[in-house]
Amino acid sequence: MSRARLALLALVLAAVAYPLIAFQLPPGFYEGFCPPVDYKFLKPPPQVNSTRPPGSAHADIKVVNGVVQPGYVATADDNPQAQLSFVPAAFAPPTSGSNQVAIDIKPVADYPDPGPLTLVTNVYRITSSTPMIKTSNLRLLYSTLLPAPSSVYVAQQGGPWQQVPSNPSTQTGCSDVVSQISTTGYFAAGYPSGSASPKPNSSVLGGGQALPIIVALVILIVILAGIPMATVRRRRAGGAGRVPPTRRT
Amino acid sequence: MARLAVVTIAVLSLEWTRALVERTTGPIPTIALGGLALSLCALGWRPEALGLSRANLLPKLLGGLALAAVLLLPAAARWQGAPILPAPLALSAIAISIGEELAFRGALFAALEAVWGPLAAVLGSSLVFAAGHALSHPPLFLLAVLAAGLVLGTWRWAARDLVGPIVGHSIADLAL
Repeated sequence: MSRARLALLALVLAAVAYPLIAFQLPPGFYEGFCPPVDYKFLKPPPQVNSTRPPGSAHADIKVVNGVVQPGYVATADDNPQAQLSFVPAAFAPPTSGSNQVAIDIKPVADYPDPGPLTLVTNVYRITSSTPMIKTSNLRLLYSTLLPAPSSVYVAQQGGPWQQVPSNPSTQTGCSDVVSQISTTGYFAAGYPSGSASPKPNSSVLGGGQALPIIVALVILIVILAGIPMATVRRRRAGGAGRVPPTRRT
Repeated sequence: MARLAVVTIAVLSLEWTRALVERTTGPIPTIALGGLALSLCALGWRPEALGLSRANLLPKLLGGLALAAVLLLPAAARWQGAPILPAPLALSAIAISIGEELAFRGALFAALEAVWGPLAAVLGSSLVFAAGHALSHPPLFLLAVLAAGLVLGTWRWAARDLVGPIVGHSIADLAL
């Protein structure tokens, strides 16, 4: 077998083997940009073997001179899966004379129907003993084994889910999404099924149906450009091998 | 042989160090610096030995697109939407793709081919490529990394070209 044929055969075999192997793995094969996140799901998706439950958080924040002090509340995981950080006076001072505000973050299994949203994190219910009156930062970690979320969503009891403004400057770029919240309620990270809403200040490279379209375009380009190139090359090779006609006298 | 040992140790050390540092410092600077450091493995090699020549550039670019299509096919077929790569991470992705190709399919491939021939170069560079990702990928995914290495390494041997793998790897990393 000539080298060219052997090379072609090897390429075809390798090109067939890769998708076959990749299809045997759970979705979420990534390129290692983000360190693997051992995400603890309350309701693990089928491809995730998770045994440890996610952590909750509780904090009593002091009130000094009528101002609720700044701080943060993080769930009790090795790598906190939900973390709320807030500035001074982010919460209304208690009217009961208490000198502290209680804040809780709990992963919950019962929450408002997400409808067309695909949620990729646990749903966390954030409650506080007094209302939130200033914007706070909520950081949600997500699993590297599932498609990355595009936004954080919030819902109130029985209400619809709404997108929360994200804060790209404070997130690490992968495995976490940070949003600015101005109310307590149910929170989760996810994306609209079948579509994508890009983050501000970010380049959208694979949102929604973009990846299948990219792959289809690439295949089209290779075919459309490859066929004429192969034809031209074959003609050139044929022309080079032909013996020039001799003149008869 | 000594050169092969040095290149192998260098690429594995750089990949593992990158994965460990990334866990504490975050991905963007670590990936970009890791890509730069891996690129240095190609220093001292002739461009032709690395598969970097300007001849037939268009077919090589087309080959890169075809490689990208193969690498992206499983993800595209099961696409559920919405991974978004912020611009700084996208630039880091390009840096690490180029660095990995120069190190694995460039310097390591050339060193292996010089000592044991092309088959060992394809298989060896793919195995070391998978081993290099052992700290950054769950063990289950290393088989797919090995298979991706075989696709890129086979092209490197078949076309004697590194431009295609660089293009294919970069597009795949950006889209994933």
